[in-house]
Amino acid sequence: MAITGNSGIILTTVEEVLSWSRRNSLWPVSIGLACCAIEMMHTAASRFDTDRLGIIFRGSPRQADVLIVAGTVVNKVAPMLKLIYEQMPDPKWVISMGGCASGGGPFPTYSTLQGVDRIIPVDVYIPGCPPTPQALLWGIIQLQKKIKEKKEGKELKEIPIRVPTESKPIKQI
Amino acid sequence: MVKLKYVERPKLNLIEKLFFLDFIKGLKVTFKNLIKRTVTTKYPYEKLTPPKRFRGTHAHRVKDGNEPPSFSVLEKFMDINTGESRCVACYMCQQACPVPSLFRIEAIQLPNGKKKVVRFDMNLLNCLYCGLCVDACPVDCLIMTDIYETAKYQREKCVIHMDDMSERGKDFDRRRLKEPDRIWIDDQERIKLWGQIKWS
Ligand code: SF4
Ligand code: SF4
Ligand code: SF4
Repeated sequence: MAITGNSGIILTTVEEVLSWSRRNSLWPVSIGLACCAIEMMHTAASRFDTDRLGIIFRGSPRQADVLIVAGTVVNKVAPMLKLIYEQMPDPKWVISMGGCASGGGPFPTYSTLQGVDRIIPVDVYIPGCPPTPQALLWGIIQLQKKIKEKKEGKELKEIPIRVPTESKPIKQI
Repeated sequence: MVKLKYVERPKLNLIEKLFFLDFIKGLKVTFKNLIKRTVTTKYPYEKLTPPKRFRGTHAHRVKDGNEPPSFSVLEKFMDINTGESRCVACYMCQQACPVPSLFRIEAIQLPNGKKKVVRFDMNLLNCLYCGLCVDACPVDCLIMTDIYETAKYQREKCVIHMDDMSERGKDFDRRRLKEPDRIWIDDQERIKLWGQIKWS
């Protein structure tokens, strides 16, 4: 129970409770687009049981609040993905799993969307092809940290506002 | 022609009907699994050590006296101090890579005629983690480490640079250079969980 900013003691407490409950019950939509989805299934299975962290895969976007984009987003499937994202109720977060979803991956071709952040805002990028289940869990823990810090108003400089980022060239030295 | 075989349902006697004996037999399996140790790894608190050959984030070995003989030939033309990455900018890794555009390697010629690598960037978001670049490197510079916790909030943070790759390489060599090359580090634990794996 912290009094931060000028939003008053009751509102901060309510926000803290909301943030706590949100970050401990992240329900992702069960949608897999390519090979990364296999590793996502592995994460949900008993070896790295995601139910421990309150992550339960839902069949409908209306009941979910995280979208794990696992796999290659080709141009044909991109409108469908956008529709699913828009059907999810607020607040919602997006994890971009694997190289394909984050930046085109090994397919720099005409038919592949070069990064899912061109159509929907992304919160956490996980490089890997595919990322191991531990890496995905680490990404989910990073997202939980982000939800927590966003609420408290700390380190907002490091955490970007959720707008689609443009693909940038590699930094010059 | 499909042949059908009809199986009679076994007749249950009165005691079996009254006390659900078959049901209890089935539940025995459930209870056995309830008490048994689970295979679940409690991830953030308990981490599996990946094998030495795990293909994780890339790193650069540094010049530390353990170089292969091919390095001493090329060293004459290079400006590399001890403790710096031993990359000689030969572009072999880029040639071998299925997605060459993820590398950004640049080298300059110093006034004394030696070559210096000024830039070695890799965009890990385009990488397949196939390890072909590691096999191609002639001076055993580029390696893959056991680091997989690389989730980032920004896309540009997924690009790795020469200095942090050298740091990672130093760290990896300090931890695991002397380790024998085996599949899993905790073999005894794994035998307990899944039994002995027989290699042919
Ligand atoms: S990043 Fe690799 S594993 Fe994941 S969908 Fe793309 S090709 Fe498949
Ligand atoms: S691991 Fe494969 S895809 Fe990645 S940089 Fe090396 S050769 Fe290229
Ligand atoms: S193959 Fe090895 S030495 Fe050659 S540019 Fe790549 S990392 Fe440097």
